[in-house]
Amino acid sequence: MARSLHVLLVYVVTHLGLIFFMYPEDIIASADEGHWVPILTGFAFHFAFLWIYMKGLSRGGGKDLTSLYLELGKVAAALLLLPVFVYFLMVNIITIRSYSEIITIVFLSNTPLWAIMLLLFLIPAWMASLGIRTIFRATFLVAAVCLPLVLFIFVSSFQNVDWRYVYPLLDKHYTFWNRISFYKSFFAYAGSFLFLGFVQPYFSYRIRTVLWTAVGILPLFLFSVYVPLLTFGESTASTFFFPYVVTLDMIQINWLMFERITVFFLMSLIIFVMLFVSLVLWQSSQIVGRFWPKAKTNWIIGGLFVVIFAGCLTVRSWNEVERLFIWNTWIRWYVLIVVPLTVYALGRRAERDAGGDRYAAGR
Amino acid sequence: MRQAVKWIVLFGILTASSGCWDNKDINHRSLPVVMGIGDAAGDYEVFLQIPEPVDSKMRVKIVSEKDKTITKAVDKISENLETQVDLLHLKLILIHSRCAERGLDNLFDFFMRVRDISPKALVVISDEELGSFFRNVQRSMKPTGTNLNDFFEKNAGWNPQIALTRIWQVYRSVHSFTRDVAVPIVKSGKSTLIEHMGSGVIRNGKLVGRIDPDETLLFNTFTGQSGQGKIEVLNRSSVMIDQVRVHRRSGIIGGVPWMNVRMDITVNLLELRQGTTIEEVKKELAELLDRRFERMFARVQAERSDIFALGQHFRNLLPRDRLREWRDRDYPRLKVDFKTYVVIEDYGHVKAN
Amino acid sequence: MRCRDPPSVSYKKSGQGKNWNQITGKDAARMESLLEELKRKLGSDADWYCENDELSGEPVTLLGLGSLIDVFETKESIRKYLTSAPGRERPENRFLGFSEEARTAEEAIEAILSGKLLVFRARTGECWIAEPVAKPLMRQIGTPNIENVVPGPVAAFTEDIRSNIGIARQYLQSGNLRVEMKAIGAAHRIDVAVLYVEGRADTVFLGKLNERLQEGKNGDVSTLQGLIRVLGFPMRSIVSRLQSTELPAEAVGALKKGRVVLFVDRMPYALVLPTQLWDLFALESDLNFPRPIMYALRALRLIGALITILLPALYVALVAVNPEALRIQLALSVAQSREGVPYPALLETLLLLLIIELILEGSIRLPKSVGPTITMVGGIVLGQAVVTAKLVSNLLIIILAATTIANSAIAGFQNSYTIRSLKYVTLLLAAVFGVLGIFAGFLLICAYFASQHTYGVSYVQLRFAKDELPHG
Repeated sequence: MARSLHVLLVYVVTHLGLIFFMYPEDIIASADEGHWVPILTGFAFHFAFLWIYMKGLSRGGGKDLTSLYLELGKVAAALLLLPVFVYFLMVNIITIRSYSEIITIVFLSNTPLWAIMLLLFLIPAWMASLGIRTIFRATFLVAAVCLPLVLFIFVSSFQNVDWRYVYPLLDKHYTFWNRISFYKSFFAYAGSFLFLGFVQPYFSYRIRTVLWTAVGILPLFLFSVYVPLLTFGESTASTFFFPYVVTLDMIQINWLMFERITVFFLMSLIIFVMLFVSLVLWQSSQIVGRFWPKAKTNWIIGGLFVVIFAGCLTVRSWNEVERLFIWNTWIRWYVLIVVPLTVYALGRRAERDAGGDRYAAGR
Repeated sequence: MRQAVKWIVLFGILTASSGCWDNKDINHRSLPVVMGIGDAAGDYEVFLQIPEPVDSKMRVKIVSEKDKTITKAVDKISENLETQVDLLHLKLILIHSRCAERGLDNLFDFFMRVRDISPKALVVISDEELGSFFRNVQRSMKPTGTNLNDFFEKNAGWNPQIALTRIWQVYRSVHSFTRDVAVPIVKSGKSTLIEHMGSGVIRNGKLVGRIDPDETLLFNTFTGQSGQGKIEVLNRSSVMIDQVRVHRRSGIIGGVPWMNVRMDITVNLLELRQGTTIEEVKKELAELLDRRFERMFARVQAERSDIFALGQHFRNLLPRDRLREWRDRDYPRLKVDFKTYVVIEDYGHVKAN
Repeated sequence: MRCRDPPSVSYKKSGQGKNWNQITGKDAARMESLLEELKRKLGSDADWYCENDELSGEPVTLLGLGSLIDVFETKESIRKYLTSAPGRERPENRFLGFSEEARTAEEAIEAILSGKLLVFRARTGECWIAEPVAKPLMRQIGTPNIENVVPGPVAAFTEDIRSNIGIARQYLQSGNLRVEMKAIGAAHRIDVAVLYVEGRADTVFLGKLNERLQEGKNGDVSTLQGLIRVLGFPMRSIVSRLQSTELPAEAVGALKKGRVVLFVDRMPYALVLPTQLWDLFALESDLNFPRPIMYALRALRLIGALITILLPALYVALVAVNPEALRIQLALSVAQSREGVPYPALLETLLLLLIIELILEGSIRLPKSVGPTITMVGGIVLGQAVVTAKLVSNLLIIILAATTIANSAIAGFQNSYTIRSLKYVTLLLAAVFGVLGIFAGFLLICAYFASQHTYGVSYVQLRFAKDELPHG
């Protein structure tokens, strides 16, 4: 584990930030009963493509995603990377806008939205300009303090569960693949595995460790949906926008001097989301930087900042956020499926070219 | 030099803006602890009990307003107070029984939607007119501001005869197919702060029936909140509940749902009337509890409200669409076989025969 | 002739002895002018010592600075040396056992300024450098001033660089300890010594360090800021990349871990590079405790650091922006304590923090006689009067007292200043954004720490994580 510590932590932290907010609502809306089936289906999908992606990257010999694509030529690489780049921009806009909205709803009704968005974006932009090593090390520091807190509160959220709400276990007629909310739930997976293709020159990792970590956070996916279901029952839980957040409000811990520990849990998650945003921003700047080598990184990040922030400001209401979500779902298919497959193909080709030499020299 | 200017400007913005967004300090907010909702000719009449620090003591203030919606009423109160009213710390919601009989689903929808009001707040029903209730309570209250709340606080004045129901549980029961709740009913007391009258049975958000304190104790025992409740047996003896284990088995025979409930109760002996034997106490206690349960269950079954959450045990036996109509279709037909087994464990310091 | 030298120090000075030539007239004239030059430059100083004497029958002139040389003792030891070794075979290029010679006026002046005795041989015009008996201007090896150590050696470094190197050698008797000396400075030179353990220290890091010292060899290193500039560290960073310690045990512990120790002449501490975040919490002297206690102490320091950064911000956030996070009883008592305070919570906190910072700074300046009085006045003023006058709430005083105490638990004097200044970041963000601001400020601080590095060695280096690849 020591060999992949940083990557592991970033993987866990970025996923945590995404799981507990919007994932439960989407899964609960996608099925009436037996919710573990859509959860496991989505997860298996993600797991398979994660494996393909990492295998392709390791066969490609430690090169990062852009370099692998550039082997096909600049134009082909630009075409292949353009959807990825657009996806990154949209993810940032959606994440910042929706999480600012959540913050306004949950805590700070008095602070204007633009100020929260500014805070939520300025700090990650500054971190992205400092480089990927800074982001990874800051993740370690933050995780050392906030992960125990998050896990403690997660465990105490089981306080009010009634296990009998698990029944019925299976739905007779599963229709989740017909429902758009099932596809929206992939937001929690697709955003944060591409970074594995960008960090190879800086941090190494073992495929096995990352896969085991993915399995390790599966319970979090499961219980972020089941804790609200077990506490309220499906009919009540489906009336909430953020079922897990509401469930946290129920927790009663008598020996703490704080009243609403929801606040601390959510704040830790927001910090994790800020780390996620900075990671995505850095990846976008890396893509731009490869096609435009003359530009300085800080200017690229500044430019992206202006574009994304302008995008956030133009989204006016929650409905528009939902619409952006749905549009992004199509691009997400590309990111989730096409990118790992192409990387795998390119990786195998590189391996064959290098004469079967698995770990190409040079890095 | 440019750097210095940049920093000065940033700092100036930051300090100027910290007061900019109407953040009121804690001593400029009123934090009501109890909210009362009464019925005033179709409108809501909202009462707020606000503890106020005055000099170094705490004083309690009661304010009220009427309006069609609760938020407008609270807003009117806030208008007339010198501080901003913040519902963040509400601990107790007191609802008049007339409102409860009319239907509470709108009210609880509001409570759950609004982030200010904590879903952990307790729900209590009052038979008495809220105006006079609060006046009486204020007269006899100690000036710490949280007395009314302490009545229901588990580590303060709570007794196992009092049901404990929170907002989210009521909300859950409004939407749930198989679960209802019981809410305590109080009125202001003559020698004590308030008097506990029993519990009201809420079905889908409406008050449909009542049960008395002893039955509420049984209800709490059944749901695992027995505390150290005391039961009076055979006219002069009494025991204290130590431990309760409830075993349930459920099934469907010939389309009719049945349930077998066995309650193992361990008690400590408190008062024993001269001439009564232990065996008599045990037998009588078991029969007493059985009879009480059957009476209570028959009543709530007639009201079609499943406060014992028996429907939960049929979730794996009935398909979902039938569960949806649990209260109307299968629950009235449910047969429950209830048996109590008593063990007297602790006799105290004095031997018993 | 060397009298009372500190052990095992080797000098690499310019101008080694040359073959004894015949004195030409040009040489003699040059030597005369050297003497004139010296007299012109330093002769008017009150501590200029110039005396004609006779050694082994030869007329010589002894030159030096009387404030640095103990003249009587020096002449005594010279005579003792001469009488104890009569008629010995003298090698050709030496005079009376002196082996170093000053050729130019610059060398001569440099030698005199560093406390040497010049022996000017009138007959041949040569100027030999002798190590005299120095005036006892050095402090005794004493106890540390700003660091306290509970179990462990209490010797401290002094101002003299040679003594410091000697103390370090005493604590680390290893053949692998390398000591390199450089003289930095254009107008006036200051010795800087670089110590490292060969085989443990990173050679790339050392290479960069030496490169910097070479490039900056004309810088002024009489203060730490000057040294930071010479070493090429960013001037605006509040994280100190030179960890200063007065304790030899700490310095030697750092050497054993593969770090590099710098000594600067006239600075009574060792400067350890590279610094790590973990240094704020882990001291070498912790290892003198049993292991569970060591862990507990380090955890305590960690909690102290977190309290310093988070507690004032928490007060402001919970009072002004997010009071729903407090329990109702606590919220009511906080409201009661703030009754009558005329300004918002942020201003109240900043005011009191200002007073506390002033007290901390002032207590360093005060002489020992007045100190306790001012402390008492400060305590009374803060503790009682300011609360009774309803200028601040008493809860805030408790919080800030706890913060100040927690701040002092951090290891390293300069590190505590770092943490002290960082708490304002979270405080300001908390005043605007509440609890979100606290966490955002914490993230900012973590990111800031993560971005600091010393010649490529990160401030937040994890020794047990082996997954980082060096920069391609």
